[in-house]
Amino acid sequence: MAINNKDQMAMKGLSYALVAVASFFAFIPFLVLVISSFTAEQDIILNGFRIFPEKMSTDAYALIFKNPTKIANAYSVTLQVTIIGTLVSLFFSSMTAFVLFRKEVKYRSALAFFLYFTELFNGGLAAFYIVVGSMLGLRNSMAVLMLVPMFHVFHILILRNFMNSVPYSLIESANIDGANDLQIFLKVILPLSKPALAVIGLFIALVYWNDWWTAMMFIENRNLHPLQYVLYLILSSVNLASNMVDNVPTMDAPKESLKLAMVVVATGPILFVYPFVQKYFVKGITIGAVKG
Amino acid sequence: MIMKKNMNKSGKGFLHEINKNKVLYLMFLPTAIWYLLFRYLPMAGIVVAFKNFNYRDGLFFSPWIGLKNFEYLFNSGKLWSVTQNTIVYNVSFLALYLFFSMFIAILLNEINNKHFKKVTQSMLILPYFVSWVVVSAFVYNFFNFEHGIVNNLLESIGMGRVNLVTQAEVWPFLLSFLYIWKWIGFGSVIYLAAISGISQEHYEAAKIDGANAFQQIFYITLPELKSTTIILALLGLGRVMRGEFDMFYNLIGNNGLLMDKTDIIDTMVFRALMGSSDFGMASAGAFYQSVLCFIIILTSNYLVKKYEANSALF
Amino acid sequence: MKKTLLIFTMILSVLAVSCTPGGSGKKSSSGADVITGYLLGDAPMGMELVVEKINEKMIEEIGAEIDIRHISWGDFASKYPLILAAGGDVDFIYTADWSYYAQESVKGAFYEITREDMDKYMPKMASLLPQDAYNQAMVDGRMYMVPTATPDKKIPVVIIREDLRKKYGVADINRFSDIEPYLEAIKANEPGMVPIFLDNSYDIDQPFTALTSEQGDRYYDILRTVGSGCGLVYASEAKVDLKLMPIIEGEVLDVFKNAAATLNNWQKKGYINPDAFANTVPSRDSFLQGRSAVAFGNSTNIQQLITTAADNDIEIKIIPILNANGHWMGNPYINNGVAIAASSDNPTKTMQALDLIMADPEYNMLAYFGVEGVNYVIEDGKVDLPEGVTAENNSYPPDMAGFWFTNKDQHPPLATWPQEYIDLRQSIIDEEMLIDYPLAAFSPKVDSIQTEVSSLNRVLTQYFYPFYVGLIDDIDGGFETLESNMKAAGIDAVQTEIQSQVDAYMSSF
Repeated sequence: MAINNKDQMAMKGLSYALVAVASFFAFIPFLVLVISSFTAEQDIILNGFRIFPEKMSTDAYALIFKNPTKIANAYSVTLQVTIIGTLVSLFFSSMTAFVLFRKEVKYRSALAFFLYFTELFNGGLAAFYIVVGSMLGLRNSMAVLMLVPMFHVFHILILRNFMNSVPYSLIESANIDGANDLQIFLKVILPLSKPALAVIGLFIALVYWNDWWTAMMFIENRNLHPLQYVLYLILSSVNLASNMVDNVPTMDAPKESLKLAMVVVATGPILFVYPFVQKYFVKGITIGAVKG
Repeated sequence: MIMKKNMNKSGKGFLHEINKNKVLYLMFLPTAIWYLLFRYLPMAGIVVAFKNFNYRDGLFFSPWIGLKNFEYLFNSGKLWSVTQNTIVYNVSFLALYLFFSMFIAILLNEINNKHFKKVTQSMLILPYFVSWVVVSAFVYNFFNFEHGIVNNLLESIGMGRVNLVTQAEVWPFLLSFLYIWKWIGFGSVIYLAAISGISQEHYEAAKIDGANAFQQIFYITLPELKSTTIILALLGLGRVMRGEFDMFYNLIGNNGLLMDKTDIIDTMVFRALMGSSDFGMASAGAFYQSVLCFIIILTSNYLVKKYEANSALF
Repeated sequence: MKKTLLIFTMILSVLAVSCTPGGSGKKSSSGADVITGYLLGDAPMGMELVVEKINEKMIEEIGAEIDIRHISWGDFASKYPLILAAGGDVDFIYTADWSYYAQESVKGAFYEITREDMDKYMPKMASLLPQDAYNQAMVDGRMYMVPTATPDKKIPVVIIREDLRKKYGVADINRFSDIEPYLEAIKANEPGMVPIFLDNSYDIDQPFTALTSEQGDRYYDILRTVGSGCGLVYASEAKVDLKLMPIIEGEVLDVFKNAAATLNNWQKKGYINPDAFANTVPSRDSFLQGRSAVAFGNSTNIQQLITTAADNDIEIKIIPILNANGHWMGNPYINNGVAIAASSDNPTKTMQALDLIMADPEYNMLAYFGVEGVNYVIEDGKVDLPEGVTAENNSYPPDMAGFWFTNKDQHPPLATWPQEYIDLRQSIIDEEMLIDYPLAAFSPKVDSIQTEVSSLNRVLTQYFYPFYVGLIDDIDGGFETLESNMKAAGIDAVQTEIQSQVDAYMSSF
């Protein structure tokens, strides 16, 4: 563990310093955000966002949690969709990546193009709405929340790229041992790709967690509204209704702090989970690197 | 079965190939079905860009009107300048994103203190969660003409206050900074995972050869990250015509004074179609972007394939 | 590869076409026809109970029940046309001149409602609607919406701090154009305040509109109602010789230049926040919080402001914004309405149901105020909240559910209305502030000039909006740039086309 060389010392010092500066820039606005979400609306209007506000208030949170069962239900929908969706998506995405990675597959580049082409061209909102909502009949179902954001070419191609670092000889020797391709994928590739799976799993989970668009398009049943959509509705009703509706009873709604409280409410749980995921890609590195 | 036609040229037939790797093709099938249902089926809607849409006849039977839906783009007199803006912004965003993500990941990798690393890394990902609506509230507050932190700071160091709303030349830098700020944590995670895949033997060998810490980064880490960088760059180039609509729209809004420097294709289309609900013209805008992206990605992928076959997208 | 994909896409498109959904009448478990309706905004918590109560009556009376869904404000622009395009699952939908009524009608989104239909299926509404309402709802000679029988009677207003005006000895203000001394006094004496603090969506054009209106007739952009503009205005209370004028010509230009110069002067003196384009806090909020001294609103949406100001011991004065003749354009009937989707399986039942909701007092009260005893009670002929229910926890606040097209003459006044508000409403009627502008309900058809209109839309945003907040110093130069860009964008073609539509419209009466 001892650091003996000057150049290593310099490198470490530089790393610590620069990473600290970068994290500071990332963290301070977020800190201000959290504090301001607890700041009285009046204080924000008069003085803007500050680290030391004059008047604290939990109005914004009171507005969000005005109906606690609704929020609890929304969290539960989001959790189910995120957990199941991520597991299914990660499994099939990596399996697809494995196929694209295998040199034996003669048409692998055609298959990759088949996937990638959809990134370039799409038929627009109307066609998507009709196909998914009416033809596939997925409106108002939990399935639509899981299915619509399921695959992203970005994730699949990054996974394939990571697999490129797996020595091909492992696959060949497994082949000789009589394992079929599915077995090779499950027993050889998956265990070796943990850091990649952790990263892409995280990305997929974030996509699910942040997705309000699918709900906006296809969910009318309020019991199936995920968290982000519920928050989005609260914000849009507070912001826009005050200009469109005549008898607005809650015009005093804390609009500015509400925006910020929403971020806190939506991000909080992820921040608790993040370190657990993090350990996979952090560990992957530290095992060998610390030795020297 | 559809692919059959193309396949005769290469000695053994299509069926033979499918049969030989049937397990692999079967493994691809679930994803393929999803793509057919959720991507290719709706793609038929692309025709609406060439149609005079009406509800009676629907997306597919409305009368054709050729390129009429595209006229508003080409006659606007601004198409070239917004296309230029879109490319310049996105290419610089992409370059900065790749550079800083890689840079931070390499630095993070040098850090041994587990807790320091975990905490800083968690901090770096925080901006990812802040939506552009909130970022714009922050920019407004921090740069507020009277009490914004940044303006107070500028004044205290004798630079005078800036009114962001009227100073277009500041925006390209501010937008780039915000883009990096938001995405760097996200990007560095990919690079961290990539670094973790580099075999330790390389480093051991280099140390024996007397390479110092900086040389190890230059001669081992960076070359090993090349394929990841290429794939990320290609994926980014494929989206180069699609701006970050949320970012530009939330930060710039309807501020005409900034428009020459900050209007991108997406915001121009959005503004042009305000007050209309025309599927055809919206599709036409998207189609224009798609075609340009298609050309760019085919070219860049071709070049990559020529020099770095393994890193090509397809 | 590309060829393969092409073939592939073609096969899929054929597939997609052949599977277009065909609806069949929906029945509920009780055998009643289910009528699905879409409203704007968000469903209040108490929506289910209200719908249940409505359905209890409706099943008995006409054998139908309603299923209400909402399109949230934020989703409106994207989702509204999609619901109509997908069809099959929508019977009626909110519509209004500002929600693309004319555009969507032309594109065949709605079911045509004939005069006979009205008499047969909507007798109550038919007896309430005057001929004007029918005329306004006509698109190419056909009617696609049932407009409200009671258009809102509202005018824009400016609210100032009367206490501060007196404190600093500024003369009484009755017109927005006379406000400058007040702004000056605030700027000089209230260091924590910006006299006019505009937000970027609602307020931004209000001072400009107020100034130009008071200088003459009212200059109204012909495409304003659908949330965009083309820079073509009309400004006549008289029904003869209606000429559209581009904002870069003639008398309009002078008036606009004056307003722009005034605002620029105010901006330079620090009376207006320079970053209005980035501010999201409405002037009514910053006014109440003591950040600014002028609030913008209209005569119906300022109830809460009046009440809160009274609670905070702020003395206010409400200044109506009117044109030089003391008039304002009355809302047309089609400013609120409901349409039947062209794809509806059961248009006649839908009309029957709508007739009840819009014009039957019991249904109307349910839809607008909720369940009696739960959401409201009637006391002394006024709508009040029941014991233990507050404005904050009322599960069905009035007006919020989106039934804006019902007959408001059947609604009693609210007990919460402050006196100033009642007075203001009364003075609008007594002083005959609202008059019919001849083109108030005219909806231009822009299909043939869509290209020019979209270009103009953008030109206005870039070269005209900055005048709103006084950010352009060189007024003449600014308008010259605007002019050359509007000409390049095709203002002449737009003028010719819309003028001919206007002429045809005017001769149709």
